Amino acid sequence: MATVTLSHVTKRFGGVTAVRDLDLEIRDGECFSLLGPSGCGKTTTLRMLAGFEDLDEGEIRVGDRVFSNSARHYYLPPEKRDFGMVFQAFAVWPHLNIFDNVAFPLQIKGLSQADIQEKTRRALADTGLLKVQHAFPGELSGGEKQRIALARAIAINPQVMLLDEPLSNLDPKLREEMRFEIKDLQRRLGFTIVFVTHDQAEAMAISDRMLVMRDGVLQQVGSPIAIYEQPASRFVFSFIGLSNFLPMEDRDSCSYVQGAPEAGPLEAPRPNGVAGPTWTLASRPTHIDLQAEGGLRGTVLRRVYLGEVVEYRVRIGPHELRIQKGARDQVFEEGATVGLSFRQYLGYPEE
Amino acid sequence: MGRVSVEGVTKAYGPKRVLQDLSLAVEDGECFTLLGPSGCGKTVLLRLVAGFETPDAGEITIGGRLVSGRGTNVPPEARNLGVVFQDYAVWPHLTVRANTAYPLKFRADDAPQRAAAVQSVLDQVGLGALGERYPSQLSGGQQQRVALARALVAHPEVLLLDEPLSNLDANLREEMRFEIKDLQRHHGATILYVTHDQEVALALSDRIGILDQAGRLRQVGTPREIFDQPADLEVFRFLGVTSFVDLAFDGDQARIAGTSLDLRPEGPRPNIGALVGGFRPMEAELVKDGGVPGIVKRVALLGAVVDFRVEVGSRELRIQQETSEVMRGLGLPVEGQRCGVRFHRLRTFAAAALSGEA
Amino acid sequence: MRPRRFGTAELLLLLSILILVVVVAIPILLIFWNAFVVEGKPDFLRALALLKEPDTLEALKNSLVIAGGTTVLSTIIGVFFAWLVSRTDLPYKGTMKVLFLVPFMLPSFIGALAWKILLSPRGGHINRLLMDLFHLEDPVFNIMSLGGIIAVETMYLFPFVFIQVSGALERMDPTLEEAARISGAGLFTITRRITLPLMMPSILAGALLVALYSLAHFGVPAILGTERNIFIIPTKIYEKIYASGGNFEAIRTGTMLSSILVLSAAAILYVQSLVLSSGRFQVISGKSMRPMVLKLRGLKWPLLILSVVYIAITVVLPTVTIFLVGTLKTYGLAFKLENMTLDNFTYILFKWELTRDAIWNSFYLSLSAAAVTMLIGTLISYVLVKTKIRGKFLLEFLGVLPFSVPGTVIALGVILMWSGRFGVNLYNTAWIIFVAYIARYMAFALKSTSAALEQVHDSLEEAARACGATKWQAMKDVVLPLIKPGMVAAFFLIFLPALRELTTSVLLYGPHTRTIGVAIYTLNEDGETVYAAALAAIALVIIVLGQLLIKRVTRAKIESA
Repeated sequence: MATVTLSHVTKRFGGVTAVRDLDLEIRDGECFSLLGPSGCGKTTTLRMLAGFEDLDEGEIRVGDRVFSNSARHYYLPPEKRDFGMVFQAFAVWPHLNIFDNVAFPLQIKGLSQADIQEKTRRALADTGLLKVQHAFPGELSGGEKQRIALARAIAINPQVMLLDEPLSNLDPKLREEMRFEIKDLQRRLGFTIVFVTHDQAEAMAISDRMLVMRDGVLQQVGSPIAIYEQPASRFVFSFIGLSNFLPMEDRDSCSYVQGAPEAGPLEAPRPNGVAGPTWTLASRPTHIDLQAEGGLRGTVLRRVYLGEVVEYRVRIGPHELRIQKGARDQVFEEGATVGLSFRQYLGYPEE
Repeated sequence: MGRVSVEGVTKAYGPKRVLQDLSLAVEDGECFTLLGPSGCGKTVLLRLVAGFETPDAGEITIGGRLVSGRGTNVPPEARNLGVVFQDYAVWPHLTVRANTAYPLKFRADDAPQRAAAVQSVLDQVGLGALGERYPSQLSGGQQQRVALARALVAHPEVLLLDEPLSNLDANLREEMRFEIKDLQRHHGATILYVTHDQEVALALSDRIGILDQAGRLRQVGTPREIFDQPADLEVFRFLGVTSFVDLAFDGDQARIAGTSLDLRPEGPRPNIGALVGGFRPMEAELVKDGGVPGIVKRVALLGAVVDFRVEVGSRELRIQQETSEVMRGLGLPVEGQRCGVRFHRLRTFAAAALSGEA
Repeated sequence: MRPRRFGTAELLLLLSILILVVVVAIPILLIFWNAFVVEGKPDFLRALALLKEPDTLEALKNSLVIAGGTTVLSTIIGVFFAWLVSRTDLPYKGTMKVLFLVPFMLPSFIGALAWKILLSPRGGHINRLLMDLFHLEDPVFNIMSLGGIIAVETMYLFPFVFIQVSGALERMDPTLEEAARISGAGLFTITRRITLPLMMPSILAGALLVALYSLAHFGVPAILGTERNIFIIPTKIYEKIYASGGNFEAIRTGTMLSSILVLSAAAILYVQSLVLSSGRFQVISGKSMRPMVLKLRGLKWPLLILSVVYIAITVVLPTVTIFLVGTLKTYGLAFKLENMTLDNFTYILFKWELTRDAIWNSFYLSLSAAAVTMLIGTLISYVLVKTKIRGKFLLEFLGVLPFSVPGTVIALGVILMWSGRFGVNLYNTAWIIFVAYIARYMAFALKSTSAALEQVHDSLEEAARACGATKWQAMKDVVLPLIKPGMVAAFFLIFLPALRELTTSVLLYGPHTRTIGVAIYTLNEDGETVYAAALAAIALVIIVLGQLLIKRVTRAKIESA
């Protein structure tokens, strides 16, 4: 079993707490992403998993075996963990050809020549590199280099695969392709993936479950769709996609935009779970409709044609909202007064 | 006035023809974008207009004055232009103010006038308080603002912008897009903008010219014209993600994989050869019942949209739908599930052109 | 195609080519001509016959042994210390790293002088001490041997390897090693199979620099070898030229040996460019992370002590010796306070014409050579980096020459060229040293100014043009201010080595044109050990002050940028 369990894991660098009291269970065979802005502690978490960093508090277990335990100062060294790992900058060895790069972990394990040959070839075949196995990394493109790294990582048939922003050095098209390839490999070989990224679309596209982290503190864990539909906090809401926030205040059982009572009351119920007379309305640009009459009144500041969508910037009192409509929807001119209605929205306590 | 006209311009580097017999006109006060893949010669054209290169043949006039061709070659410094480069090209040894003031050095203005002009343009680009900083103390976006201020300070007739936003991150790019538009409105300069970023081109331009890999101008038109009525397959494929289905016609009735469609594909319908219908990811949707039968190959939630790869016949189609719509409708499909595809819009192209260029 | 007219760019190109031809190309051609052409006809047999003479053969053999030995030893020491300061948890790593670079700025012939004082078989202080202490009949060490020369050269040349390797280790992407760890490899395996192979180009680059330098080096073998009849190519050339009194055969032997030096230098540089250009070893990453550090545990302090002792023996001991001997009233007296005096220094600095002149000669020569070479270098680099004109390949070819010409060869070349044969006779004047310095240090100027110019992206200049500046205005307002730090660096890179130069000037000096290096060398030859040491001490002080000044200047530049 390759269930990865982190209990009360804390890591400090000097006075900065990079990861604070993290409890997490990554299930056997799932693809789990660690998502967050840079410096949120996701890479540190991965490096603790790999064994490159010691823990200040807590324990890491894989299955029922302890890999790191700060209380006992026990750390299984990285080379004994039998993980596969892929790095952002590829980290393929330029002085070895593709075959030797991939065969390296097998050679270290002391397998027989025949075994090394067979397993290396299989890893190369799985990643589509058989044809270039005698080339050197310097002669290959970024996408191919990352495939070498993948092949090297799967060669020993690891139970757990650690991926540290493996796609961020690739161009968008290749990134998408590699995402699918990683998923396919996982389906075939059944390893558990821990995937670190700062790109929310990438995390949502690849993960079975994911977490969102900020300043070393876990914000939310769940399936991508659950996190997208029900972000636990304003931060998660804003990190997971384009967002609008409107501060609201309740008067006479109606909700008004703060600083813009003239925009009229919100013609929709106050969301659940919001206490107090003031709260924040959160909505995505695609979840707001524009109409000539009714709704919250605002002024079109800008209209930008982007091909498939038209983007509006609409001002309500001191606030500016971003709204995206299909190119075939009704068009509003800059300067026009429009009404906004929210098809979907959530409420958060005021910050 | 700031009309730029390029007529029959040809430019080669050794045996490599970069531009051939290219003609285009940028009207006074217009924002014209040259959009093309990298290596298509768009930057060369901009450098020809700027005077950093001389054309092998053809003429260039700026504001009615001949600047290149017929034996004339006005040097860059005498063309009254503002140029903004992709790498900003702000001078690291000069302060923001000194960078911005440099073009005024070559004018007759007196010192107080100059200082006022510099302060005014720095205020406009939001750097009014940072005049004494050095470029190394600024962020990428701020450096690009210095470059813009420097290009605008002398009120040039024509502003040439060479991929000025491509080194900035997505948020800044969006913000700067608005700022360039506002500055143009304020200064009334003619803009020739060169980029490979279609989003910037669509958002910013009055008109767009599409340049192909061979340096030929494929289509000139407003953003909407270019996007909605592409002149040919190449222009269509250059803008955004596109997919194609095999189309058959029975009189006016269009069919895909034997299924009759309830829409009329747009575009010419030559009698010879097979036809394909092209569409963009948002111009089709997955439906539970009816539609053209297909198989969902892949599903990727990208946030606001769900991205599907659907196999119809022998072709793989890209379809994107709003996440909330998908969740309210058929829910997230499983990979391998059968589904129906309904098309909102299809454009006809010759299948031969597609396979020839694929 | 447009017709090409003869413009400013062409003029600059022509000027650059002309300068390089006169200063570098013709002197080298004259050497080859002199070596292989007899009475207007090529004659290789005769040239070969000269080579077969026993003393020439011996010199060739010694050159190979010394260059080879120095290279191997420097590489081992350089790699070891580089690894120690960048890949282990050695205490005081930062300080140690700076200390390992100190030998770089000290002139090796002064070191040789110190070691001769300490370890010469009969008179060496340490030898005498050991003999007295243990009642030995024979001296323990003999620094005046092939082994001694190798040892002393290594002390001053290993930083070439150290700099290359420690720089590469620090810039190496640490995930290359981490990937090996996660693959199951331990630290020893990683060092052997990943780190060392990846460092190979840097190690090789450093080693080749050592070989190049050692092959062409005059000072150490002259001071430690000549007295014992141990000659290498440069000292043999010196002997031939001085013993000859204009003898034709002797000059021909000199030019023959010079040709061999030039060819081996070119070969070394060629190998180096091959090594560096093979893209297989791109290991540098932009992302900076803490590299893996080997915990030395019990070896931590012993290794620190080893490093400190190494520095103490190779840097502190010779330097102290020079200063102490420089104060002795007479050489041979014991180091007691009553035997010491500062009068030696005042005598050298203010009273004795020979040394006073030498100091001023060196100062003027370095100053003017540095300024002129830096300006010429800037001009040539500008044409090389910034212009696109036909015929540039000629300049590119000529631009490589200065890198492959050893100092001895340059000296011989300028003798052949400027001794009246072409109507200009500069022999025995300071001008001939000046011309030689320009050729010798051109490579430094080209390197640092072309690097600076490459940093100045074309768009910076074009932006100025678009703002209304003409080409010359853009140059004055944008290009020149931006490459100024590079020019200043070039100036100091020439000024400091020129100040302590010996190899070239020793062949060119006349009665009134001694340089500091020549003065120290000849004083030593004449047995004036105390004055030689005193002058060396003064030179050391000047050099250290100069280094501090550079640090000041370059640091101020970095902060303002």
